[in-house]
Formats: sequence, C-alpha cells, structure tokens
Amino acid sequence: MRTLKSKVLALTALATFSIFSAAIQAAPLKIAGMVPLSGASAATGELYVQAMTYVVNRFNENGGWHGEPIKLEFYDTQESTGVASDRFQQAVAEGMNIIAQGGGSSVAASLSGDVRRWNRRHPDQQVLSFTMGGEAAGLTGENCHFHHFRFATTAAIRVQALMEAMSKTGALGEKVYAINQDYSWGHEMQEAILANADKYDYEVVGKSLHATNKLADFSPYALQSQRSGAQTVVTGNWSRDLLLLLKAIDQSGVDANLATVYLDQPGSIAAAGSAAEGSYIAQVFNAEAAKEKGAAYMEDFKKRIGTYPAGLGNNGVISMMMLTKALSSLPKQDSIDVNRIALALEKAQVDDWPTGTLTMRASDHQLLLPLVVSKVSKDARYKIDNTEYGFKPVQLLSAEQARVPADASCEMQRP
Amino acid sequence: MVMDYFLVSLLNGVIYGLMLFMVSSGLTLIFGMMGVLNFAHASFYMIGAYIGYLCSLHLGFYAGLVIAPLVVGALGVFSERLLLRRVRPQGHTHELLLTFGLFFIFEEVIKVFFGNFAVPYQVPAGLDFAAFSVGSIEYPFYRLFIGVVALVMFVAILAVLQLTRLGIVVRAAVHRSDMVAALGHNVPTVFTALFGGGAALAGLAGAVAGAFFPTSPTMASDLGTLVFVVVVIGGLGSLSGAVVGALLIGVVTSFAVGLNVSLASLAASLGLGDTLTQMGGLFTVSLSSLAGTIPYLLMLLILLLRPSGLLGERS
Repeated sequence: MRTLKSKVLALTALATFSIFSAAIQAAPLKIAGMVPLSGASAATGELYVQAMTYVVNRFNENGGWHGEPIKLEFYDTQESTGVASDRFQQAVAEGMNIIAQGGGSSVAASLSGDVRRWNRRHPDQQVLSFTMGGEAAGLTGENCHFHHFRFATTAAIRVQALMEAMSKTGALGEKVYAINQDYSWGHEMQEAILANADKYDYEVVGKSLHATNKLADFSPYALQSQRSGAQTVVTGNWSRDLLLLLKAIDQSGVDANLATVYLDQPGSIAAAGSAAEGSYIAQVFNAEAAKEKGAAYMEDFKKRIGTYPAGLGNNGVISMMMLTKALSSLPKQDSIDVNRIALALEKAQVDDWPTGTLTMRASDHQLLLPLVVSKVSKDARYKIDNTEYGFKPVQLLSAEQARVPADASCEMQRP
Repeated sequence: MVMDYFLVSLLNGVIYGLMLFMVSSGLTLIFGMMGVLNFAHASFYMIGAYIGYLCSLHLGFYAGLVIAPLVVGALGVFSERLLLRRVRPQGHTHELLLTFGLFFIFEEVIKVFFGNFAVPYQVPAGLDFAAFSVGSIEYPFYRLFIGVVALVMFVAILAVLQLTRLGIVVRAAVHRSDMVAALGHNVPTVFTALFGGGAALAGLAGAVAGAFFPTSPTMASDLGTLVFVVVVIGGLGSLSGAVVGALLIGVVTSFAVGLNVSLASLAASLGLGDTLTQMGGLFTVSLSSLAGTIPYLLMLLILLLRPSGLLGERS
C-alpha cells in the first residue's frame, strides 16, 4: 500500500463511469495529493485528505469535467523532502497532472522545484504544482514559476490581518513583542511584524528567535516579553512551540494579548486549556464569521465526510474549489493541457466560498482570499476539540482588505 | 527592575535545572551502576506524564504522583528482566540498540492510544496560583513545587545509596559484582530493581512536570538528548554531577535568552561593529537565539577540558 485511495471516491468514480461510459474517453485529470499520512504530522495530512475528497466527490457527482470524473490519489510524504521527491517521481510515472502539496514549507518548496525541473525536461508531459500548506514567501517570490500556485497565506498576509483587526478593536496597544522560531518561517514572521509597525502605529519593543522544537522551557521568553512592557506578543510558532509559549505566558501572569497564526491546529486548544483564552488568531476560515453560509458549508462537509472541516483542511477545500471552477470554464479538450488549466486558474473566481470571493493573482500565482481574525472564547458558536472554547470572530477581512502586494522578486516566465 | 529580573531568571533557571535533574537522575544511576546507556529513559518520563494524565482524569492528580512511578517502574523491571538481560552477554552495543528501539516503540504506542497531539494534562486548581510577585512578575507556585519534588528526590536517593544496607549492596555490586554474588546476593535481581527504580524516578518526573509543560508524544525526544548532555557534563554515573550539570544548563539557558548580544555588537566597542554586521553570518547571530544550542556547547567544552565530566570518576 504505497498510495491511499479513498474508498468513497472509488465508488463514486465507478458510478459515474458507468453512467458516462458512452462518452468519448479522454484521459481523466489526475490529482496527486502529497500529504503526510504517517509520522508526526499525520493528523494534518488527514485534514487535507478529507477536504480534497469533499470537493472532488461533489464535482464528480455533478458530472465531473465534461462527463469525466477527476481522479484523486494520495501519496504519503511523511513530511520529508526526500520522501516527497520519491513520491513525486512515482506520481508523474503514474500520469498525475496536478501535484497538490499539503503540510510543511520545506516539502512545498522541494515539490515546486521538482515540478519546475520536470516541466523543463518534459515539455510534452507537464504538470502543475499546488501549494496548499506552505507559507514560505519564496514560493510566490524568487522561486515562483508559471506552473506553481499557492492556496495558502504567507507570514506577511497573516500578520497584516492580525494587526488590522487588533488595532481596529484596540487590542493591539503600542508595544509589540515578536517571538518566533529561528528558521525561514519565523524570520519572515519577524520581518512582517517589523514592517507593519508604522502602518499600525506600534513599536516593536523586543524580538526573539529561538531554536525550533528544541526548547522545553519558555518561561525565560515570557519573562522577556513582560520586562519589555509589551501589550501584544505576536508569534508564528506552531505545535509544541506554540503550546509551550502559551503556557509559559499564562503561568507567568503576563498581561499581554497573544496574537497567533497556528492556534487552530487540531489539539492545540485542548492541550492549552484556559491558557489559550483571549488569544488572537488570523484564520483562513471561521464558520461563525460567515453566518448561514458558514453553517451550511460546515453541515454539508460533515454530512459527506463525517467531521467538521478544520484548520488547514480549509486550504484543501479552497484549492480544489478554485481548480474545479477553472476546469468548468474550459471547453472540452482532447488531451489534458496543463497550460490552459493554469491560464484558466489565473482568471478563476470562486463566489460560493462562505467568507467571500477567492481569486488568483496572475503575477505571482498567490491566492487572494478573505481572512478571519478570531479570539479564543467560551462564547464561540463552534467549540473546538470537545472543550468549552472556540474561535469567536473579531473581524472578517475581505480578500481586498487582506491582500498584500506581490513580491517584486517574482519574475515569472510565461508560455 | 533589573534585580527583579535577575532573581526571576535565576529561579527559572534553577527550577528548570531541577526538572532536568529529575529525569537525568535515573539515567545516571543506571549508567553508573550497570554501564547501560538507556536511550529509552526519556520515554519513561513521557509515559509517566501520560499515566499522570490518566490518573488526573479518574483518580485525581495526587494519585497520579503515586501510581505513575509504580507503573513506570514496573515497565522498567519488565524491560530489564525480559529484554535487556537477554542481550547483555552480547555487550553494550546490543543493549544500546535495544533501548534505542524501545524509544521508538514507546512513542508510537503512546500515539496509538492518545493521538499525535498534546493531551490536556493541567496543573490542579489547588496548586495553580502565584506563589509570590516580584514587581509585576507573578511566580507560579507549581514551578516551586517541581523544584521541591526534585530536591526531595535527590536527598532520598542519596540517603538510600549512602545510608542503607541496600545501598551498600548496590554500590558493591557495581564495582565487584562477582564478589557480591559470592557473598550470597542475587546480583541480576539487584540490577533489575535498579533499572526499575531509575525508570520509576523518570515516571515521577513525568507525572510532576507533564502537568506544567505540555504532555505530548514528542516530550521524550524533546528531552532525550538534553538529559544525556546533563549526564555527560556531570560525569557519567555521578548523582551529584547530574545535579550540577542540570543546574548549569538551566541557569545558563535562562540567562542567555535575555542577552541580545552578538559577536558584532561586542566588536562594536572596538569600532568593528559595522564591518562585522555587514559580513553577517555567524557575527550577527545573537546569543539569545542560540539558547537551545548552549547545552551542547557546554558539553563540548566539558568533554575537551574534563572528559570524565565535572564530578565523574577518573577511570
């Protein structure tokens, strides 16, 4: 078992095949979901599997792409660049057209590079690269290329959204402390926090970069932020580094708001408990902010998949919604031409995403999406991880409000 | 303000050090007496935390402090009696590889039962208050509690080893095991008990510290290498050395976080600051971002200057 097929998908595919067997058989469009299915991030991978399956099944049930169902297969990257490259070779050998990555910037960067090289050497069998879960700026910056699309946010987008909402509601204050992990993501977070200082009128009173996933005790950092008199602590930390920081800040009685990016990873709220209360987060999706439309999406997803969509899974839904929208705009093709799909994606506009319009910026292939800034609270409508807490929306930012300018270092070679 | 900050940093460092000591004490005992480098030792710490969590759900937090060391100790006895003892004739490499394998198995088993994410093991309400305030800084009582448990543990181990008959047998078994056996003591059983005891200590550490630091499947690998560093710095097999090593690491890391100095900023006083800042690289790395690396630098230094560790016996 090297790849994981969704049983549901196989059944739907079978049913649709039998209905349309009379139609002329062009090769079906094949999507390879490159996600971690084992190892430490397996639970994140599962979110993408559910999300992509949800949209693709719905699309296939409605007739697929001109009568042809899309095929979706999953490959386990184990969140390692080496394994992901092997899986990429396997995927192209199996005729995949779209390589959709979820989970980890390093894997996203390596797969985007693999796709770029492959396309250069195989102009007759080109593939597209989708990044659903990599937030490194380079993907739509200096390493951007025509066959790569990003359906996730970046540090610049997340920080700007946090600052916008928090300054508007008066939660931000004038003194901000930045605590981030000492690798590319943390550096980009810190840059974004420094870059927004003038616009939102705050002073960065301190900044710390710490070893990633190595420290066991964050109380010295809590002490630092307290000493600086910061009113808001901003962090891009994820998983255990976020949890440790949350707990350290809570236990030291630091009187500052915490602004986060990854607090909606499954399990984080349960583990942090009351320490998370009052923390802010810039989210890709919050059902409560989208009112009835959000509730309808949540319930439909639950009906088909069995659970509510969560965290990064929403990026999976968004990417497949954009793709299916682009496909629908194309006339019937004899063979699959990914360049035409890419051009259609640049023009695609999704209007039925609950929180607002989704479009793809043609110049750097960065998705422009609405964001929700929320606060961990007991008043939230949807509770997380069986706790009494959930994410209460503070402000819904439209795609226009949430956008940041394209990275000037992106020089895309167009066909 | 500076004084307040200094005191709290010192206390943070000392208590983190004591926490490290709780986990390393068993490791250094087992190594010192049996010569076994137990890679799975930090796993015992993790399992202790999970058992503490389970107990806190059903029997209460304090029951966990009793049950966790007992269960983990039993697991240690089981590992030694059924697994380690079989490979002992093949030498230390086999023992090392076996414990290395156990480390992975324990982590995966925990994931199967509790999932990939941290579990909500919380400090009980009765212990969750500020012990005192220094200026605007509140100091959590639970940190002091961790420190006190570690100190009690240190004194108890020392007393058992130095003052009781059992301690004499154990120490003798380490140096002249054949002589002790000839005197009618069952040496393999002594070793098994010792291994179980070391595991139980790690289990207790897990049950105590897991409520404060998140209890997650990665907590073994988080501390795994660090406890080795503590033991190497202190001297393999030396209990007092483990205390000194752990405190050293705790305090140095705690203060390093607050020091935003880099080679470039130091050179600035010599008028070379701008040149070095432009060169970037190593010169602009601030000490605070190296906080996670400092224990390893310390270990390197100790190995160069005093290969047997600070308080280790010279062989």
